[in-house]
Amino acid sequence: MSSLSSALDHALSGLMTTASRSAIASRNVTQAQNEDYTRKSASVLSLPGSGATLSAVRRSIDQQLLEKAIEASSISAARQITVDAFNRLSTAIGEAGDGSSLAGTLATLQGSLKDYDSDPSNDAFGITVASAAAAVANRLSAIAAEISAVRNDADQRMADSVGHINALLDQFKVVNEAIVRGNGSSSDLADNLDQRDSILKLLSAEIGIRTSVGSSNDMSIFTDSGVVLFQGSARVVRMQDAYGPRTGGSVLVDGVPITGPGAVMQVHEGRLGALAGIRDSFAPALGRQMDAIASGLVQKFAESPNDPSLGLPAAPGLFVGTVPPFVPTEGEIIPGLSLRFGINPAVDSDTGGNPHLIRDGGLAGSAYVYNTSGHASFQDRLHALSAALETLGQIDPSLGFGSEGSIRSIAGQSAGWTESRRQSAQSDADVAGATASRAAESLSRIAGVSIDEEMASLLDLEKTYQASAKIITVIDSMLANLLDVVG
Amino acid sequence: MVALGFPTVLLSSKPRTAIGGLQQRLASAQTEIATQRKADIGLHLGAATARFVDLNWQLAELDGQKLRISAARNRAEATQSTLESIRSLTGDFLETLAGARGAALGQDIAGQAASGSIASLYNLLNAEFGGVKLFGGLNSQTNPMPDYEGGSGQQAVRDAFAANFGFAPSDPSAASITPDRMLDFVNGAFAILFDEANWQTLWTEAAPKNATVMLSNGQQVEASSSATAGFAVSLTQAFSMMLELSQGPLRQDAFAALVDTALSKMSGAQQELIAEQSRMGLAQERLTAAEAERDTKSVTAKKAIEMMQGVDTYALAMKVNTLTTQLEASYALTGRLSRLSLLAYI
Repeated sequence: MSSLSSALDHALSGLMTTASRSAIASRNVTQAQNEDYTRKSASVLSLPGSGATLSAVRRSIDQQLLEKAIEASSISAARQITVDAFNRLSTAIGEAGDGSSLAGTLATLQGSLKDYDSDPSNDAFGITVASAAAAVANRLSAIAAEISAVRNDADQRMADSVGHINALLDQFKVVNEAIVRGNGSSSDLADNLDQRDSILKLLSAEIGIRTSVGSSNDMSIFTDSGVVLFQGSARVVRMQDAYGPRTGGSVLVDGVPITGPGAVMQVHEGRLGALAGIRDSFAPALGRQMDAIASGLVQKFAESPNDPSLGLPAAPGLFVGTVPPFVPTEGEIIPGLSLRFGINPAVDSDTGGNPHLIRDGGLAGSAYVYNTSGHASFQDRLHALSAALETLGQIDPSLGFGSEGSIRSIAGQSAGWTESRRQSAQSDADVAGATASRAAESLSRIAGVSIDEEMASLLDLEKTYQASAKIITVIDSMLANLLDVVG
Repeated sequence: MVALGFPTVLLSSKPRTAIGGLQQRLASAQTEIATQRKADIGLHLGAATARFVDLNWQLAELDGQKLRISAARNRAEATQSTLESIRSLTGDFLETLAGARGAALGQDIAGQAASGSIASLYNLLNAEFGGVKLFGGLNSQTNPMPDYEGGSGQQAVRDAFAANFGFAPSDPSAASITPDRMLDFVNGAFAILFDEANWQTLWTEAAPKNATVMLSNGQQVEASSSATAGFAVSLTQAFSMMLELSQGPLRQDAFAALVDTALSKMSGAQQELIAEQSRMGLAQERLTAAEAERDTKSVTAKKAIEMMQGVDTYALAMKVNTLTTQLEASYALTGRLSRLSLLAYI
């Protein structure tokens, strides 16, 4: 008798495990398109004398691969942001070799000055110089404005990112606590673990992180620079309000700065790291180059008084922008000048100005007239101005372009600086993107769901279920036979 | 248990990302074929962009220089041909003057010729080219020679004559002037009216400084002239001498002395003209040399730019072919893979 009822027990347990395994297969199939989902499988435990039971739901996951994938996606996100920013800056400067690029407008200005010099009495040449100068000023202002816009966007997105990080850390706390609580008990933690991993993925897109798992499956999160983000509780991430033309508010974790020039534990990866790099380093550096060009133009085109004994200072001529008007010394960089830069309205013939003042001098006032004879083909001033853009002089070595140069050389070097950074950012982004997608793929090969496989195993389960059911029917008829015989 | 099946999500996402990449590369290859240059030159060159920008600057400079040099050459040619006209005018007058020296109506002939010649000379010196007075020097918008008749120069000559002899040039008392007195005047008070300072105040509006052309190496070429040059002074002096001083009934020997002085002035002027013409010729030569140098530099710069931005059309066409084939294969695969599922068979 005991063997028949034991057979019935086995068959019943078979039905129950089959049902549970079908449930798991169905769970897998439903989530097949979810990239954060890990394939679940059941471990079946044989119970002595009473068949089998589901011991635990297991996730197919490789922790090392997961960490690798998280890091790679963080790096890839950062690189792409840098590329996007450099694309914007490069577009603002203009395509190399194009006449409307910064260097192109400067070359046109020089050409128009030389044309004017070859025929100084020609009104059309004077007007051309004025409009070429206006094109330079417009391009320079447009670049300066775009640099500001790129920095403002980066600042805004950093603030958004900080908010997002805080929200994610709060979510993480809840999930992490659930996992710690459930650890060691028999409850099914697989979905919680999936959720915790998916929060990590989101978090690492915002900021470069490292994790460590302690006893009781408790997880701690650090920035890639080693600052604690989460350990038992979430640390507060905060952005300072201070935002200046060349600096932005630092991001602090628990009061420790992780971005900005003074940050020792500077975060490198993730959106936050990349945006901070753009806002605090790349964009301001390019801005300084533009300021150097603007300052150089104001200085090179400045007018000197024709009577030195009056003791008047040199004054801005064709190009203006310094407030109050003054002339920078050679190599001096006036911060933010490229944003206020423009041409002297006195040469704009559209508004009643006189372009011939470029030839004659006197833009800064009658004490600054060069052409005292009034000759229409006066060339001295134009000779000097035509060479102004190319004349080598002292430049600020902190630009990284040496200590001697000209406006022409700064414009060229600046284009080279931007493009070389864009090029390396792009190739970094390509590599990081490929690494990230390979890591995600490797992870997916282990954690991903194959619907075909689930269907095949469902077919197996169906057979098992049919067989168990058949066994029950057989035992039922055997018992019925027995009862008939007894009855 | 390790999943042996290939994850379904990868089956659809892999071809999708591959197609995106292929399409991007195809688009850039097509742009490159259409424009014959790299689609994104900055990204292609990186730090070498600095050199590329500099080369383009150089090319723009050389292109501009081509126009400036040719404008300067045209102007120099116009100046040269005007100088040639002045030279032939000088020759004609010399002949007339030599003939008039001993002729019966010599004074009339010389006076008429001088009157016509000075008008022609002034006309030639006032020549304009491309909106610029060729002989104005830097004062290029004003006629370098204001009208002779009634001008301050003419008046100064007459005043000087009256001051020296005590009567006007056309006065009958002119018959009393001895050759020596005439020569004293012509080489003294009269000549002073044509010294550098008086020339610029009494006679010409031209500026003594000539316009120059800047070459790319910073050198300046003086490819123009000014009415302050010696030949203009000497010619005006000679013409004015014959026009103003021989109006009265001069003694034959006094007239001959005057003519001799004018003749020597004229031949001096001829030398000065030749000197001016050869100076212009040298400037023209320098411009031609500069143009040749410019052409060579321009070819080099263009080549260098082409090397940096150029694309290999043949290789690109092959690339487009390959990419198109790959894309088609990708599309076909995606379609077939999506139909490939166990579900279709159970």
